[in-house]
Amino acid sequence: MMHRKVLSPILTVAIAFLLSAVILGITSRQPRETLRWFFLGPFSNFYFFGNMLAASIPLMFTGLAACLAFSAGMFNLGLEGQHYFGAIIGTIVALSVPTSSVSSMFLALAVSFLVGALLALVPMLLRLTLGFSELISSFMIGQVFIYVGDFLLNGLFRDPEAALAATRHLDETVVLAKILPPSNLHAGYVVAIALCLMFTVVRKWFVMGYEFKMVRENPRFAKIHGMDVERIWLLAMILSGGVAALGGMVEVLGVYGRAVKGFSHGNGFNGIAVSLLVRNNPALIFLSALFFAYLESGAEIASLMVQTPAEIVRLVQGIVFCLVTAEFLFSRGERDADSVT
Amino acid sequence: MLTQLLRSSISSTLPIVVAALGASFTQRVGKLNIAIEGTMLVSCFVSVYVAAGSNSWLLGVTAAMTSSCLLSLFVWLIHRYLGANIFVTGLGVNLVASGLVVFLSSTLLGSKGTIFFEEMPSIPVLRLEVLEHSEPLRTLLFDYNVLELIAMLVVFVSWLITKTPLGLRMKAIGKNETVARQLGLNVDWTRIWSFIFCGLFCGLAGSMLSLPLGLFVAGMTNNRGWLALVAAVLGGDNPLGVLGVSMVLGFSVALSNRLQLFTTLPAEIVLSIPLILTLGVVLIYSILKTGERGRSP
Repeated sequence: MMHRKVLSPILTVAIAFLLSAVILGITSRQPRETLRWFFLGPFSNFYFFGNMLAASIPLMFTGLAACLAFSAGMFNLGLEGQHYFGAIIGTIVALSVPTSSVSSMFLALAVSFLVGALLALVPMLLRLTLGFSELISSFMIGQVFIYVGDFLLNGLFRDPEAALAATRHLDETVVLAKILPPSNLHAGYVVAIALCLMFTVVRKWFVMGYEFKMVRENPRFAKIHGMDVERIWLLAMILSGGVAALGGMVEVLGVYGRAVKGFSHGNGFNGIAVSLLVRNNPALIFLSALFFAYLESGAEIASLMVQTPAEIVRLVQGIVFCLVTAEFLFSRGERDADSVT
Repeated sequence: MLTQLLRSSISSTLPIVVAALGASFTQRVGKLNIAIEGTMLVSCFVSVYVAAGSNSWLLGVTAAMTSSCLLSLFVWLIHRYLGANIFVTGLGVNLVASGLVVFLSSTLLGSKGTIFFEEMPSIPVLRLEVLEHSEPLRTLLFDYNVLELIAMLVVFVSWLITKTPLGLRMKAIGKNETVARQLGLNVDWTRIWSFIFCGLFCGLAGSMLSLPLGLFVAGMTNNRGWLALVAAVLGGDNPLGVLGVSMVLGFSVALSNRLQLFTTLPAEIVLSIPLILTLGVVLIYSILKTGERGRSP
């Protein structure tokens, strides 16, 4: 039983690597160079390596966010919108409030958390009161707020001096400390890991974790035994949306120093795969986030060095998505096709 | 002005309703396929690419339908034989599709942006020289291209399918798989059929978006697949219900297109209008439904 649980994700990763190598090899004019940069590029120097670690930070947050929702048996497909819009509002608030550096940083984080939580709360309320699938409504609400975020960045809050749609820069004292300069790696890495570990502990030893598990495995049973299932679902979604938005805000504070249009580029979505790749085990999220970041930075470096289309990475990520819940090596009777966890 | 809006809502409804009917087949067998956004996007690309290459719109549509059928079956096979979660696999296909079309267009055609195909075969358009005295009626009733006519036929056909033994079997399997299996129905084959229909319909819907324009952009489907999913979920088992919801959504798409043309509203807001209106539809519909039958769990 155990070895299958470990082998299946490893097979998924191996297939994804193999397919990406094949696609790159076929389409590139200099396949050897391309493959070398794609696979070894992130390790070629400290700068690339640090950037790869930095790229895994938002994925850890969104991965944890997805994990929180899955832990209570919920789907949150609005992660992208919560991640993006939460960070934009947080940035705007931090820019408009003249307070000292540390408090405005915490203010930004708190505001983004609240906004993300709110965006995740609405689909859950729709589900509870009207019975409409949170799967579709969370996606659509998220999508709407990506547009609204773009609108804010392009219009009202755009820095007139910037060449691209972005807000003004945050004060230099507000941003998070860098760990491995000149790369982008910043203190958010530690925060992300701490949050993941915290949830691991909560899941394992706290009443809340047990409640999540009961509700996930059998909501009716939980209800019969007097649990407030609705409250637990709401809590899971609020935390999920909040953490996703927190990730966006940390990304802004750590890497960009301002909200830039399209900065989330799929991090929200990939969080779902990040969580599923390690079977929603929060203690291992850092590993799968690193794997996704590795793919992303490999593709980025390859496109920088040998001009391969960077979209290849979306292809590979999609393949991981398709296979991530697949159970290779399982005998056919054993699995329950619809369980995510 | 009003008739024009109505006419363009019919045109925007047709791709949505076709995709929604495709999705509703999979919903009927209890395995909603959420990959239709990506499936449509791929068929958008395939249809213009093949049509421009072979100079035949019919080949383009056929190729689009074949490719989207394969994608749809891919979702099913991964779900059925590797036990993957069907929603996650669907998301994966959407992601693969969005990467694949950009990748293909940059390697095959050398551009990632909007691609105009110079030598597109023209699509036959139905023109009738009657009712010349009534301009509004003419705009409303004629000048549909052949794809749109096929789409109208498809709506009718999918209504017919629900009345056939196959359609009833699908319904039975969706209601209770175990009982259906015990009664000796071939659950696997019936589901494969529903995914084949889903693929064929999404292929048609995708080519309806790109072929008449003769161009391709990566964001071409613009969430229409998700709108179609909403229509499929709200419409439920009844193709006419799906058609009804799709019409409302089609109207909202047409409205947002109009607003984009005739007002100075920012593009981001205009793009989100169909989604917001759709959410409104969801709300109203769900309130009406819960009012009828009391709370559903």
